[in-house]
Amino acid sequence: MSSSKPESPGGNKVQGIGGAAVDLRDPWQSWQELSGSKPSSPQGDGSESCWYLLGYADTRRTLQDHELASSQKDPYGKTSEDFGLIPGELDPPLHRSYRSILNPFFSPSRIAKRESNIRNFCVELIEGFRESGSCDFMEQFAFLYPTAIFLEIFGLDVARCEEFVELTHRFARPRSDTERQEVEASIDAALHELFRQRRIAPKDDLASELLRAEIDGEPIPERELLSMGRLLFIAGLDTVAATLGWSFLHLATRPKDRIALVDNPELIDSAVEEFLRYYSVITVSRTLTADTTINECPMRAGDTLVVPFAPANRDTTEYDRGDEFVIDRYPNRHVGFGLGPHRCLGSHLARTELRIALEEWCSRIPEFSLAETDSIPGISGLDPLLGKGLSVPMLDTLPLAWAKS
Amino acid sequence: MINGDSVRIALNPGLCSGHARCHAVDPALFPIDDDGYSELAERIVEGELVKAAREGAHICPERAILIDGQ
Repeated sequence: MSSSKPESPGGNKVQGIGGAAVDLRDPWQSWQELSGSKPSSPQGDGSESCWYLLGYADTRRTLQDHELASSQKDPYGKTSEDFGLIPGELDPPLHRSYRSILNPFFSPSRIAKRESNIRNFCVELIEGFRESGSCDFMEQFAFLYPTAIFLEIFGLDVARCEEFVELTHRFARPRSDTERQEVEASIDAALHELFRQRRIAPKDDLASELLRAEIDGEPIPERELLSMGRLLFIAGLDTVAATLGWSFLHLATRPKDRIALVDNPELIDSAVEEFLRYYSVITVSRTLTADTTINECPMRAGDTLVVPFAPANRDTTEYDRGDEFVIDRYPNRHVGFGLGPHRCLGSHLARTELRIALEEWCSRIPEFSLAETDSIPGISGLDPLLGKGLSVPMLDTLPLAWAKS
Repeated sequence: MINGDSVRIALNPGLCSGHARCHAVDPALFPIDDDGYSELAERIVEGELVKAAREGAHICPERAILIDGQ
């Protein structure tokens, strides 16, 4: 294949970075093929290079060292005018000020209190299509489920779920800069209106909490609140939908693992961790603040480090049988939620959402498979594997079928 | 010096990033604060808790929990 774009759902392989073939059924394998030959692969030919970190040890060292590997778009221009998404694109100590406002809202104990609401959303969606014997898992479950939960947490109207699914999808994978700006404006407008209402009448939601929060004794300016809101959108919805998609594609095509979960629900906790390890959808980037050498590669201040979590998570020097899916793997010290100060804020929420989805599917629709067994689902966002961006690899569709009750 | 079936556990607070995986292993042994970050004070763990102490230390993705002993 010579194409540089995914050809889905036709051919099942496309060419990725370094010429490696990308298998659309398991695009992560292409990272492993690369990492087997060279741990870090230089990209770009200008004065500032872009490096891919493909091993566990390099990934861990880099994500934990925020002084060497900055999250700010421009680590040298530290004025407030330069900030990107807050707090994702800030370094400590400023990062900590914003993060500490968000942390309590997403802590394990606060998320545990939401469990029954999360389960209700999940059950309502499943029962909406269960008797029909089929669904498109992505359209009818994977996008709606985390979006509804997030809208409720934030304080937005859950009835607008489909509108926000569409916005998030376009925000994560805009076809042009213009589209990205349009979508940002739409999200900002919705958040602006929500903040306006909550200033008048606060409720028990994240929007009200953000309005009450102070940094250095001052309320947070609205443009910073909008930045925080935008990041929560992009970080919390797409990622869970993508992980659900890959997890359920796995179960639909590997009946042994599906039956194991149905027969032994106590395996669901370890299965969630293994899905997060084996199908890691996140890629982050950092900017070097000083010259350094990683894996004998001389790197310079200003160089970009691209850090996909997937190859680190399948690194066989760190994980026993790291290239295999092991449903009862324990302990599972994976990096699916990243490492260091930017550890995924929503990790406890995401874990709960994934666990409840598996629990309810396994009890309500225990026997499901791909509706069209010959088809390879289309995938958006393969760009990180093709070396062009940081978006989340996402199944476009996942048609599932089961015996009607 | 720690002998027999006991281990010393302690936190490197600079490394804890709030994964709370230790807490999931044993909430009493590995307490967390309201933000979800470890509040582990250095202690010696004995007997049947040793297994949980080892698991909690080993599962930390940041390797923020120090453990020694036999």
